Amino acid sequence: MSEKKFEAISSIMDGEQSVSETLYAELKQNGEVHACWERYHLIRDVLGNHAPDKISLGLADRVAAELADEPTVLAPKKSHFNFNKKNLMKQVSAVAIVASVATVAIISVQNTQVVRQEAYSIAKVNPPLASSAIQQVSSGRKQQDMQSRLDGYIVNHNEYSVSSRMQGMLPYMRIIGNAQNKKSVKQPANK
Amino acid sequence: MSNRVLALSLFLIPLTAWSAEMAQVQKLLENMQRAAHMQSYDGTFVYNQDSQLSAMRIIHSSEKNGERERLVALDSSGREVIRDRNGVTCYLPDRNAVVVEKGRPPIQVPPPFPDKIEHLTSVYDFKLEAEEQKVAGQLAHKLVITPKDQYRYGHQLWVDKKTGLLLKKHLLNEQGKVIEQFMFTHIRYLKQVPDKLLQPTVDSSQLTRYEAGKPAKNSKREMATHIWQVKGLPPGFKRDLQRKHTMAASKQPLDHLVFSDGLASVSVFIESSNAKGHLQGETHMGAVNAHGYHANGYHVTAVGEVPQLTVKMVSNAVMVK
Repeated sequence: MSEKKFEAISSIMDGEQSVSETLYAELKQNGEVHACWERYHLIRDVLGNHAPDKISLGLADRVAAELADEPTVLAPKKSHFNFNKKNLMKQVSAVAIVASVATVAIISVQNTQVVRQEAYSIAKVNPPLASSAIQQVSSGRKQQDMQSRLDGYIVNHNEYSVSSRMQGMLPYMRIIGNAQNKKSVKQPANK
Repeated sequence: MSNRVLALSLFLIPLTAWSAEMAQVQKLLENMQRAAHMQSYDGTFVYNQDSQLSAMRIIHSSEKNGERERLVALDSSGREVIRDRNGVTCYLPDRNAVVVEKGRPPIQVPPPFPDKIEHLTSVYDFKLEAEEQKVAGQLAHKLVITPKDQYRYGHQLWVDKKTGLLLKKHLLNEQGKVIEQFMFTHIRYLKQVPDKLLQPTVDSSQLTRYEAGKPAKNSKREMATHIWQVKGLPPGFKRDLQRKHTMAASKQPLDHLVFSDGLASVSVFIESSNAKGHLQGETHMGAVNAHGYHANGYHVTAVGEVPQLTVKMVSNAVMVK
């Protein structure tokens, strides 16, 4: 997502501008923008100590439905907690919020070499006429197996690492913070 | 003679000051570790890694019968982790799964600090900053831990002055860049934690449950009992423990070895290479790096919150005798 979009969402949340037609369309259709919108609100609430006790899993879908029903301007109430990017950066000690809110797998397999090797071995196993969809499925399954295994490794590592002895459960934030296929990135159906 | 005394004094004064500071650091780390297990609290924090910002809530209860903890995502992923005497239960609705792993054996209460500062100072520099800072409304001491080589990360810790609880942390890579951070935005210390706060809110009835335990009947090969030879660990690292385990997701038996420099740990998992879905090469999840390879019918994977160079070195250091 571009820097401009972050800026736009940030200033809308600060009450400095209302939602433009373009951004409105993107909030309806682009899961990433939508997720960013939701997360900025949540983090604003957390920083202002207004986090709800429980967040319903359907929040994203409900927001999507509200967006779909909302014909014109979606301007959030101006919060007493002044939210803008500078403010947030200051408050979370220069957390690099502008970079991305893109969701990743519980353990992102980010080494392109690994992915390339897998793609190569699948290409060798499958006959040349095998559809790319089949190749993608088996590649996805392999990756899922690997991620499940790595998840298990991380949990077992956490249990016996010095970090957990010193910090208790905090190292598990890596598992919580790396959800894949967040429901908030579901694209609402176009009406 | 008096010159010698003067020279000795000039040498000893800074040394005494350093020793006094290190004694303070040791106490701070000990208090931090004790607080992590002995305090009961309900807090909200923000966590940032790989430029992704998340908000979470943590509830920790220290009880006569042990600890109970719950960590929950405050976004729509719905993920929750519960730790108690029954083990670690990860609710992953986005993956349609509940994964139950065995927890570590109950720790001694209050837990002893794993290492003496004298050992740690051979690989890290410690600096306790004079100025106190406020985090989540609490006054906090700031401790800066700088590695002396490229085999480990740096830490900046903000520790609650009153309770000793870790309130904020930055993890820095070999270039001194912050790669992972968390900070409490709100914390409430509790005498007693209401039971309902420790119960999962995820409806897990439709999720697939994976539990650690006995190996699957069709697991290709039992792991033979091996004594693993370890050669060429990064400086400062030594073996912490070795255990046998069968993981929830794979149901394959494995050997788990843990190495540590006193602050950072690296786990090495060794499984039969017949099992599917092994990591070949390297990957990372924020500050946690992993490296895996096949050798002599086994698959070796190292995982730890250390630089990639270190996980690779540790994974290569383990060989069958």
